[in-house]
Amino acid sequence: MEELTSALAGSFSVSNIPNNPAAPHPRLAQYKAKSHDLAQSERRRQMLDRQKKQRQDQANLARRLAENDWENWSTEEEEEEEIDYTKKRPKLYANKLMLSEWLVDIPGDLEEEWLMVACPVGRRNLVVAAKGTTKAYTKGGYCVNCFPSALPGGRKGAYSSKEYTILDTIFCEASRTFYVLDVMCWKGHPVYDSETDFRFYWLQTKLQEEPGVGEHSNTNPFVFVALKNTPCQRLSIQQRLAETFHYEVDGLLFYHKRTHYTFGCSPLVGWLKPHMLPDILGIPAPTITVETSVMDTIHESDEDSIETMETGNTARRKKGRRRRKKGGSEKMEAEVSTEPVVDE
Amino acid sequence: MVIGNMTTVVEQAASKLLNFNEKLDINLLDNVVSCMYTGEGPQQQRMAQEVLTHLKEHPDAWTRVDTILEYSQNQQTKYYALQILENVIKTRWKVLPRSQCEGIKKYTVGLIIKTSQTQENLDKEKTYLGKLNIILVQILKHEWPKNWPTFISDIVGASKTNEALCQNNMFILKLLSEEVFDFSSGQMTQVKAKHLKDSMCNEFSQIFQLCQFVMDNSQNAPLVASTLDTLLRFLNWIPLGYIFETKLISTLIYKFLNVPMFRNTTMKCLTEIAGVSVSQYDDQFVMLFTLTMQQLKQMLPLATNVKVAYAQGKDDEQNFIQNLSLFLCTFLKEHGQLVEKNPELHPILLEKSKIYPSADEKQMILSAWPNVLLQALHYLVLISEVDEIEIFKICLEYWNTLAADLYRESPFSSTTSPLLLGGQQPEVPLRRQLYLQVLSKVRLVMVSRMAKPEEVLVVENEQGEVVREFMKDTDSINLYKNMRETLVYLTHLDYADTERIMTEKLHKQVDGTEWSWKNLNTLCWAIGSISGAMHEEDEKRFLVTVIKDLLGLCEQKRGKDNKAIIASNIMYVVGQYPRFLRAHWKFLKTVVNKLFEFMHETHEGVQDMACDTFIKIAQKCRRHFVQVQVGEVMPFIDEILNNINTIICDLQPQQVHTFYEAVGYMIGAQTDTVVQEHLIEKYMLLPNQVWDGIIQQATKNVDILKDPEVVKQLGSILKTNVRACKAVGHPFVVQLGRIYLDMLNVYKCMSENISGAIAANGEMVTKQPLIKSMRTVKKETLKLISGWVSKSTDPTMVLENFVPPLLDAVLIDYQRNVPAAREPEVLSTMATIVNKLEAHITTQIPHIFDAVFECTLEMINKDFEEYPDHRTNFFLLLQAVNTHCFSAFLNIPPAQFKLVLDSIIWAFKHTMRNVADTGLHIMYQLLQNVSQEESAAQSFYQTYYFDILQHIFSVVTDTSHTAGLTMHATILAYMFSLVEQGKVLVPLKTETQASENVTTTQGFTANLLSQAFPHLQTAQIKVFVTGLFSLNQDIPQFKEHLRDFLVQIKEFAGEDLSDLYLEERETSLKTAEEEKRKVQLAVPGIINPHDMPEEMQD
Repeated sequence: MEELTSALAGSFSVSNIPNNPAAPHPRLAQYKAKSHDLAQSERRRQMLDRQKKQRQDQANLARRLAENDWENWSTEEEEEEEIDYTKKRPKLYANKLMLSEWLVDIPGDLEEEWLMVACPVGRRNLVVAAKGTTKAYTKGGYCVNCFPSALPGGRKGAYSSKEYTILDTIFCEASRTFYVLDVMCWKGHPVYDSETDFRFYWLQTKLQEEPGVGEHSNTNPFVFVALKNTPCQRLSIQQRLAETFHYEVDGLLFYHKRTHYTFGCSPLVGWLKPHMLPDILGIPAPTITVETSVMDTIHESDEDSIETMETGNTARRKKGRRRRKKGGSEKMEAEVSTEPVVDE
Repeated sequence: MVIGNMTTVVEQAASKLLNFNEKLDINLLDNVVSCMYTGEGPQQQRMAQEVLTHLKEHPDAWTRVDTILEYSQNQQTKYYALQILENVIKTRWKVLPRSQCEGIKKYTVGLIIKTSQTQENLDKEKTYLGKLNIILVQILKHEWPKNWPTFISDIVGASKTNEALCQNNMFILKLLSEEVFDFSSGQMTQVKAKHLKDSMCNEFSQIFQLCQFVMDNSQNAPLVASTLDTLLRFLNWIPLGYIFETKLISTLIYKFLNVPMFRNTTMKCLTEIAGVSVSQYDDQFVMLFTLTMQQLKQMLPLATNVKVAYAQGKDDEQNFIQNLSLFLCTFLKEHGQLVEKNPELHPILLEKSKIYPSADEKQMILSAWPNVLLQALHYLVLISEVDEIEIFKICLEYWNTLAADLYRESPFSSTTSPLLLGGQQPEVPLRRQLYLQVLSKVRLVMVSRMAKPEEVLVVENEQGEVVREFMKDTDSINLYKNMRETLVYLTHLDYADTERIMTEKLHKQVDGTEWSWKNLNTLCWAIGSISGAMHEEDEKRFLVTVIKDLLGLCEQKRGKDNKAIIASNIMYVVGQYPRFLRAHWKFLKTVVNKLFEFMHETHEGVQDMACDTFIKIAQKCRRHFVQVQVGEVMPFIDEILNNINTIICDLQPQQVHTFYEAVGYMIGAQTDTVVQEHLIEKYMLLPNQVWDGIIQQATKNVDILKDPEVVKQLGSILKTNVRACKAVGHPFVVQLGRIYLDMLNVYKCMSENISGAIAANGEMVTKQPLIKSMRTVKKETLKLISGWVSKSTDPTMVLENFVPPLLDAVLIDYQRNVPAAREPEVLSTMATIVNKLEAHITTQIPHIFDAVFECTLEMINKDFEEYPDHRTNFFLLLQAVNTHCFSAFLNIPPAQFKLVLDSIIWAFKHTMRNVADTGLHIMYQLLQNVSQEESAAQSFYQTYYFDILQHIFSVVTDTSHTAGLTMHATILAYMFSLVEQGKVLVPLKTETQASENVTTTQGFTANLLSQAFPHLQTAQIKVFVTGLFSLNQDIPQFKEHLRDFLVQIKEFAGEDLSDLYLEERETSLKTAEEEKRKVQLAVPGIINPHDMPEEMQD
């Protein structure tokens, strides 16, 4: 049984991703996977070499994503198998994000050549703002949402058709926020072939300059916030993690400064959970503080759900929240107008 | 040609054709007919059609038939004339003067004889002659035997004169047999059908002799074929002596079975005989079987690859294989036990039997033994491999019966179980030994072609989202169920053999010899199908090997597509074995973690597979996730809830909902309420955060509830709640209570928005995405509430805490809204609540009715179609109230009660089956409920009894309501017995006495019917009404009585009623009445002392 369990836990997979972050961290896992893969460090080196040699025509791809134009498109990056295009429409928006591997081999140049980003809890989405609308796709290429936004190209009328934007984001539903990890294209200008350093700089400045993206409004129902990046010196990491966060932290991404934006899992992007820091990097486990307003929502709901209606007590929601709610409901009733909700 | 011109031409033609004083213009008629078939454009055709219909419906039309048939040059015109003739025979025969009937009869017979003189003509005039034959049979149904006693000898005699004529006569006899024996129900009255059947049986010897004569002597192949075909129709009713005490069986086998042209019909005849279930002809059955197998071996050598032969065969050959499978299965199922025994055991039977022509043959039968049964089974195995699902189903049915039979006879495995080693082994029963080898082959067949266990359909829901739906009850799923059952029995009979076959098949996947996606799927469905059939230890050992092999296969194969298929098969197999999972926690946990890993996999279909397997495992192993397992620090559910955000972060909304439902099953398994509440709280944390955020914002600015993104989010959160509640059940009250009031406010707000939009922009606006999403919010809210109520366990709590706000928010809104914005789910939610809370909610019924009753009725009383969902749900609500809160009906004002009753009557007048059924059930229940209420009952009867009776009769006699006949019969029988048993104490009609109620009712009914059907004779109606009383304790009989009446109203009876056998009917009704009385007398007190016979009163 033990053998069977370990066989199942180990190398059983569909996509064969080395150091897949969806599986346990190889250094901390109970069952070790048999690995025929090269060491992570070796793959990093190869990848950077390859990047130097061949410059992919990413600009062309950005245009296709934005205009949903797939004429004469062939998926060269699917090296493993042939897809029968006659049978089913391939998911064209699938696998267009740069994903991480577990950070397993500690890079010798970590302190100089890597940047860290603390990621919020949420859903990884590819955001494409083009032709007057903004769409969010899961990493499997499923379109989860379609809405207007203040991103260049993201809402009707404001921009020309050439101005599209493609972002790598984490969507947090409760705060209705897209936290932006990376930028692949801004106002029709692709940066896939730029190095992390530049893309991060571009992301920070451009998003800041764009009016309206940071505020909830009718034409921008979700806000876009660029995530901060930090150099990977021990001290910087510790300082960053000691700050107060506006979101719940899920984990830490480590980007190599020289990598371009590539698709799929890359050894040049590493992933760790905060509690793994002592084991992997020898940094003491951080105590992460989240801003009280965020905690409030969580705390408040805790309190509320303890109250039940089972008591049959009509005065069951005695706390302030009830009063506010009650008032709110009345207000809601009063303010509902009969005017049509749908404007042409 | 100008259309206007054309119209006048047609009009002129019509008036000319319909003028019966003038001689018929045959050319004109031919022109109109050809215009209908080949006219230019649909308009011309329609006009021609109209003229012809008019002419056909004219009562004197039939007088033109002979002229048309004689002079028309157009085959289609002749056919049209025959339709006119058929029509008059069916409906007006009885009112035609006798001389005319004789004339038509003679004319038809003459025409048939004339047309069927030569073989050539038979082929040329096939359709025309066919129609003539049908007409003759229609005439026979009226005339034979009373007015045409010599028909059988006439037709038999005529047959001997000419072979072509004989062939057509065979056809007529076949039609007659079908009309009388196969299709008589609902077409003739019961007595009449019986009369015709008796006549046919009595005169069958003549027909049989004719058939035998043809079979023995004729060299005319089409004639013989036609005779066999006719014989086939007879076989299911003729007296058994004709089959078993004549040479029929050996003639069929020796003379016709091996002739390609006859083999299919012959095989069908033999199958029909094999299906006869009697015991006195055992030796004949053995002979039938043995001789057939002898012949068969010549025709289809045992070494034939039937699968290939079938695939390459012509239609006729393929049919033969199918017929053969039917023969073998029918025989073996009915008489298999006979041939299991050695025929040596029946020597006396053999001696006694005079039907073997020679001693040689007897010898042959004996020497063929004992292989004959095994050979038959061998054929059946070969046929089971044929790639034709219908044939496979035939074989499967037999294998299923056989395996079940052998298992029940001795429910032990033939395999030596390691657990029982050393113990006493039960002997393998003798009978089973006979089948051992075959069963192994059958196992292989089952494993090799196991059907797909579930079908997923990808559909678009009303919000335009693509969703997956699991299909139930499809053909393929039923096939799976039958195959699964068979394989389970087969596994019980010898599990080691099943295991061996599966393991070998799996090795062939691994070594590549049989590798394909389809083969792997089939094999894994088979492996999954026998879960629980082995001993637990054997099952474990087997599974460990299977999973290991499959994991190896997954690692060995390249390409994501291959790996994904293998992975989903591994997960399918694992999910099928919950007993194994429950026994091995570490393995179970690893499986679930692997599924979580797959939930991030982007390869097509893997996430769906992971979620489906997860929910399957959650349902079967739920308790194991809430307990602290050995070697763990906390229950696994806590780990899941701690990481829930990460686990679901790559799933699509649909998949997230499935995930929530799965986790809900686990939480539902926690028995400690306090712990459970904490789990629910943590479980719903994420949706609640989003929910609270929106509510908070709405409190500040209610317009946010018009924001499309917000509305979409609300819909999705509510869907999550619905799925969670479905799984958690009653304890979900904690969560529901938390959001309940806000949710109802959101509901009202959405509803008012929709209503406003419709008022401003018309109903078209409901097609807009935003309005659709708002409706989703409303619908999901109702779904959540009714879902929870139906699972709740504390009616008082529901009534006190949940119902009042619901009624306030939802009902008032429903009433106030424009019809297009009313959700039909409001009605079904109310029905659910009433069904759940039963009498508890009686006091609220007037309140509910005030809000929903009249305004819904307004929507649906204009026609029978509009608002179908409101319609269905409205009557379901009415049914719920009637069943559980009947006393509420007694407390509403009479006017409103009348409205309720009217709407029930309205319900059963629907042609929508479900609505009409609901209506009838409510009516019946209502009558029963009323009878329980002494005081109310009498005034109810006085006011409504005849009203209801009249409406029920109106649906009984309406052909579009035949499906409801059983319920109609039940209600009518109940109502008549109410009167008869003196339950109605008030006079039903003014100026009469209550004691006269029976006569009054009879009079009313008779009057009602004679007015509705003036063409019926008084005597017919009288017998019918009498029957309504005599048979009212016997629903099946009562129903047949109604059916007879329906046959009668279809035709004009005329003066001569002898054909209706009214006297016989009266006698049988009288017998029924006496029987009923006898039964009643047996129950003390059931008969009024004044009605008792004198001798019992001393």
